[in-house]
Amino acid sequence: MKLKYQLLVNFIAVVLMALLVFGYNAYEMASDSVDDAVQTTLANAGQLSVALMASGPQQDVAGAVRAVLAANNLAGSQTLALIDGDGRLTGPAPSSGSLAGQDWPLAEILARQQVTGSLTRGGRQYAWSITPLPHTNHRLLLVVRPDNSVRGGLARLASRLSVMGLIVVWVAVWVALIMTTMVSRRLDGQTLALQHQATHDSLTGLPNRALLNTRLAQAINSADTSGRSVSLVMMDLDRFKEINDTLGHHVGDSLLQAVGERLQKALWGSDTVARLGGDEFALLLPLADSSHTAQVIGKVLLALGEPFAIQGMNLDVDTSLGIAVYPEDGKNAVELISHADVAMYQAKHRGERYIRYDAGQDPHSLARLTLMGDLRHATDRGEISLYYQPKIDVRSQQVIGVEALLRWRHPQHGMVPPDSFIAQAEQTGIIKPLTYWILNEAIRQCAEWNTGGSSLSVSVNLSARVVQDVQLPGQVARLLERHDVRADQLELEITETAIMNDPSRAMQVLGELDAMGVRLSIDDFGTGYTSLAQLKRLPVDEVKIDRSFVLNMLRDANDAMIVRSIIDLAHNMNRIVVAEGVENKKILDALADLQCDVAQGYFYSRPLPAAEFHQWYENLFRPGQASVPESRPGSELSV
Amino acid sequence: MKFERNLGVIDRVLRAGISLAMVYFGFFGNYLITDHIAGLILGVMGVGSLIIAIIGYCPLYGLIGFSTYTPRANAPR
Repeated sequence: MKLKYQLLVNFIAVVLMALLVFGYNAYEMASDSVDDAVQTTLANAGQLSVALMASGPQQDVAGAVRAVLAANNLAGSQTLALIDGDGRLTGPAPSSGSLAGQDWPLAEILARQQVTGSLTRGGRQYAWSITPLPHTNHRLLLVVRPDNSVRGGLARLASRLSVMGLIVVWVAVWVALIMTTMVSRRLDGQTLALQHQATHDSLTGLPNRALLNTRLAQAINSADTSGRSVSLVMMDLDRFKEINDTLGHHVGDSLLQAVGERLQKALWGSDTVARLGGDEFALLLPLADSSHTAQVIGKVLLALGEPFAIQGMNLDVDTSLGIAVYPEDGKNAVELISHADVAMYQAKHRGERYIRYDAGQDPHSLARLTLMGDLRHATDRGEISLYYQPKIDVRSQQVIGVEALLRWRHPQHGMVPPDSFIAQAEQTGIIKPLTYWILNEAIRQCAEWNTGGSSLSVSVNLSARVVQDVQLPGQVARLLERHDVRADQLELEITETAIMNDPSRAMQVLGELDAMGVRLSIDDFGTGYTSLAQLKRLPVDEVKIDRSFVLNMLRDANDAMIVRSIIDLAHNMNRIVVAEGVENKKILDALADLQCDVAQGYFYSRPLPAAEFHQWYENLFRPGQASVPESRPGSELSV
Repeated sequence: MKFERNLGVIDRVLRAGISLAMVYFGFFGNYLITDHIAGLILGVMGVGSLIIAIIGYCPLYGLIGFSTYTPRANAPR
């Protein structure tokens, strides 16, 4: 608006100035022409008078003169006089009316010897004309002292100028406003285009991250007032990088555009599709209930399931969708976005098409992070302890060792199941000090039992991160020395996947441990991705069959076959086989038939704290007879 | 052209007054505007202004989207 007014004011100022200049010039011109007009009028009046006088003495010459003068805006006093042949004034003309004042410069007029003219005396203007009379040598002198001749003529000019000025200003305003409207419309168009550019992705035309955030905040606000939910879905295209790299950016861009179009078609008007960059898209469903969300997801998956025809190629696109719903899955926009992201990555890694955010599974949730913090201090505060589960030699029915299992009694949460924190401990690296603590405690316990007379080996579980730690062998050696325990009393259990992450490094570490005399065993065998070639090279002494096979071996012929195969395989490679998950005598007998070497499970004992275990070992366990201190229904606890 | 009201009360009153003056001095009173043609033009413009004042829509305002009209009868829902 400001621009408009500025232009308008400028325009009008220019017009007024032009008007002024033009008006002044016109005034000057007009002044000159007014005199001419006066002269002509007088000449006409004079001739009229002569004509009248010639036509008869009754004629009202003076009246006629006055009429002519008035008609031409030349009102004023006038006088008609006669000039005789000698150039002398003889007196008022017949029927001339009143004699003019004596102070009129008649002599001077006569002296001028002009037919018409005007002069100024004493501040008044006098104009005259001299007309010859027919048939005599007398002449008629008409002198007029106009009241406002200048003003009269110029008054007309002034009227014309002002009206013209009015018109000019009127036109000027119109033109100015039209111009400014055109200009401002163009500017508005540009502003709009810029705004659109700032809020939309240039490739697909979809809203960008900024606009999504704005709309998300709005949706959350209105959800607060209306009590409905807002669904946010994060999605990306699997293996998009590959497509871009192999087929080129043009194909990738065309694909993104096509995806954007299909997404838009799949959505209603109130829902928003946004492109966050790369191959990431987001769907905002305000006022969504679960059925609408499900519908939309169904449509999206359907729409993207059809192959895309890009530049003559048919491309299949897989997506992973992560869903977060306000207010259950997040307190504000930031949380919602991050949780939807987490859900999307979970979907990706699990190979699911879509996953809804689950706070329990979120490794970065506040609950989990605080748990990790607590874990750090748990060892200091004595909240962590080791429970021991015996391993029994099948043939001799002797306890040959124990597996040490981690237990955490949290002050608020009670007994925290290891499943819920081991994975995250691995991710955050806390697993290392934790494992060293476990090693220390297990070896110490072993030493304590040694002095008590028993000679049991202790097995400790190692995670992938610890297995890759090149300082592990040195630390173990120190601990063994500190507690004066023989290396072969320590056994380290490692899962297949832990080794396969970086086999060469694991090999180095395990090789050193083996050289020290420490026993090594593969845990949960049969559930990971072991390469048999690797297995043959690994310096493990023992293979532990995963409990899932053992538990079912009596019910499922396949599982029984697997158990048998593992036992044979291990024996063929000169390894000892341990079966985990021995729940009852039948299983034990079956395993004995298959020549399994060691058994571990509820049939003998659940994991017990050190003191209880020792009691069990001393008092309740006798060769050939096994009992469980407390019967516990349900399946085995792992770890 | 649709006639959307955009002249407020004061606006219309002023315009009406000025246009009446224009009409008078243009057609009838001879002392201010002494030239006939000028008087004619002025009178016509006055009539136009008067019409605008009566219908309440000024095309100039319409062009720039300006309005002095505030609808008072707008009860909140």
